[in-house]
Amino acid sequence: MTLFLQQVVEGLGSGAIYATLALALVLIFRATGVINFGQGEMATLSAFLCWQLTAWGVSLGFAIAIAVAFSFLLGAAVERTIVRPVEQGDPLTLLVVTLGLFFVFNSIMRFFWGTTPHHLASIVPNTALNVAGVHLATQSLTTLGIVLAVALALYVLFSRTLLGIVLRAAATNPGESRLLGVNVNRMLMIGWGLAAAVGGLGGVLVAPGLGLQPTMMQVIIIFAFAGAALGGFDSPLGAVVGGLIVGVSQNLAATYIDAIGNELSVVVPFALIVAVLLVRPSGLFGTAAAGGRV
Amino acid sequence: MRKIRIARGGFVHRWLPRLALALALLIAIRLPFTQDATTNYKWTLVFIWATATLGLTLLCGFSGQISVAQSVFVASGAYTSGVLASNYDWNYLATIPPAIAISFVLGILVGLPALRLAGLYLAMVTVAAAVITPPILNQLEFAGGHLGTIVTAPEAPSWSGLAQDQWLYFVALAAALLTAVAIRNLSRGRFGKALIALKDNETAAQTFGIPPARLKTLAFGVSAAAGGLAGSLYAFVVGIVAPESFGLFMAIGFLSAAVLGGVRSLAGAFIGAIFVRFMPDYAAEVNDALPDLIYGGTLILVMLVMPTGIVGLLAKLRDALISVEDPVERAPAAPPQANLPAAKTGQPAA
Repeated sequence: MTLFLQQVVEGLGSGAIYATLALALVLIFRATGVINFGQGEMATLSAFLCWQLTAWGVSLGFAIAIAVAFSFLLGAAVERTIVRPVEQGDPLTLLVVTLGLFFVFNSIMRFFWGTTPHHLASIVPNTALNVAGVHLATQSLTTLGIVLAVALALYVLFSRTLLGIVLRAAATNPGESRLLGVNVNRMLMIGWGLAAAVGGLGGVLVAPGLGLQPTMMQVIIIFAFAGAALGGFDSPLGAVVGGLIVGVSQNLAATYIDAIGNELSVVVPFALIVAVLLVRPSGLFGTAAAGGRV
Repeated sequence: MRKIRIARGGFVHRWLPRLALALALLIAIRLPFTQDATTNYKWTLVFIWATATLGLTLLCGFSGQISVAQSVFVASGAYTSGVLASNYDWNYLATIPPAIAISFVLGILVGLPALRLAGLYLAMVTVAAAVITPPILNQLEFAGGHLGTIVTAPEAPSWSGLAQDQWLYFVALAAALLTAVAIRNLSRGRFGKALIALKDNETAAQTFGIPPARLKTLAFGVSAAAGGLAGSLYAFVVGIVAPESFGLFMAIGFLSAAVLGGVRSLAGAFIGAIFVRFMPDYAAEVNDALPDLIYGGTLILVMLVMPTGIVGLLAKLRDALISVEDPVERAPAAPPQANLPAAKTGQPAA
């Protein structure tokens, strides 16, 4: 039983990492209807910026704040300059543009910081709490707590505030929103900015544990895709739950199914998303409108 | 600037494209005799990449389904050929049909979700397929597990009088050209027209008796078969099939090649393949990070400026230089006056 709980807890730890990026993916999907392949690299870039600031002597908390703010501006700028001209294009065009973002941001990081891992300090010391024989890593707990808080904040934003409702309106029905006086372009920009900020925060949070290097998010984003698809691409809550399910199922499968082991645990979340997509294309928490059903 | 005017359906209009094609072919045939073995090897890979990309031209260009999984079918082709050749001593040419067949079946299987999913959701399923391919290949103990299988490159037959690299070059060129002709014929025939009809308006196409499910999965299968052929050649040319070669990055490479060249164009698949195979080499000489910057920058720029790819740009250039005009006197069958100025024809405008 202790082993089971330990595996669940560790699964939640990695699931929290997937969830941060899944949240960002979902925000962009809501704004522009595209899956952003460059999201992970944008998040890593924020983490590098944070590292650079601390290396220059800025305190960690302030550096994180600057990095997140920078991410917001970066996301908004990317939407304004690169995504907007093709926003009405077909999905393939948009997809390829985000692939381009992936390569561009990755090469920028390699150019400035190289490929050797950097060490970014964590906001909490890396110790383990022992609760009834189960080890809880403080870093994972912090990530999990912050992700849940961000998801809750986003939920409140989208359902309780005027800005959130206007953001949703601009994304779901740009034409009518314009007629009602909504500045749709600005809303989409804010959507991308928000996504980049959430992703950037995720990058800063997970960098201490993963080791900061340009490829840091490349595996994570694959599982974030899985989490977002599982939870529903238009639901922030779904993204978090989906990310956590991916993390836990991966860990449990690796522990308990001998044929799977550590290596094939990659397969588990993807078998899961294919199954979910086939049965319920909009994901567990998504609305039917976002479903990809033909 | 005055444009060159040529008559529609006239001698020049009919023969200019064929002339261009013949010229390109001549260059391709001459090329392996003018350069060293390493460069021939690079061009051989270009044709292999073009073969796989041609599959995407059919799938993404004509059928409108997004696939980030072409690497999966290249892998299945490469593994089939590699295992048959090194474990069972099959002749390399004999391994090509089974490689194509297995990739075709696998393509149908991966394409099945396409019946229920559209656009980016389908893309997600194909991303998943591409990601889980290397870990699954790792488990294939009969194919060497992590290490993969070494495949001996075939010698050129003595009647050809060619060196090994030249022979492989021509085999790959022939495969790419055959695939191009096959895809061209498929896309111009009933199958291709039905695919385009489905892409433009599925409901309308259905009322004309076009079965969407069967055709869409078939498109996946045919596209995968092209990948299988490419994979089979890959095994013999590269000389090793190892799991890590067939990951998401390879898949992204094929999709980029298709889109950069022009996703609806056969020539685009070749141009895209040349770009993704050669650009990184040149850029890496300047800076280690430069290839990806150029790669990503080009992807974005092409999508923003010319969504129809390099071939689309060339077509625009052609239209700027040459104007094709309908001949005035002959062509009784053409719809009269509709697109001609009234003054030119001497008749009152309709």
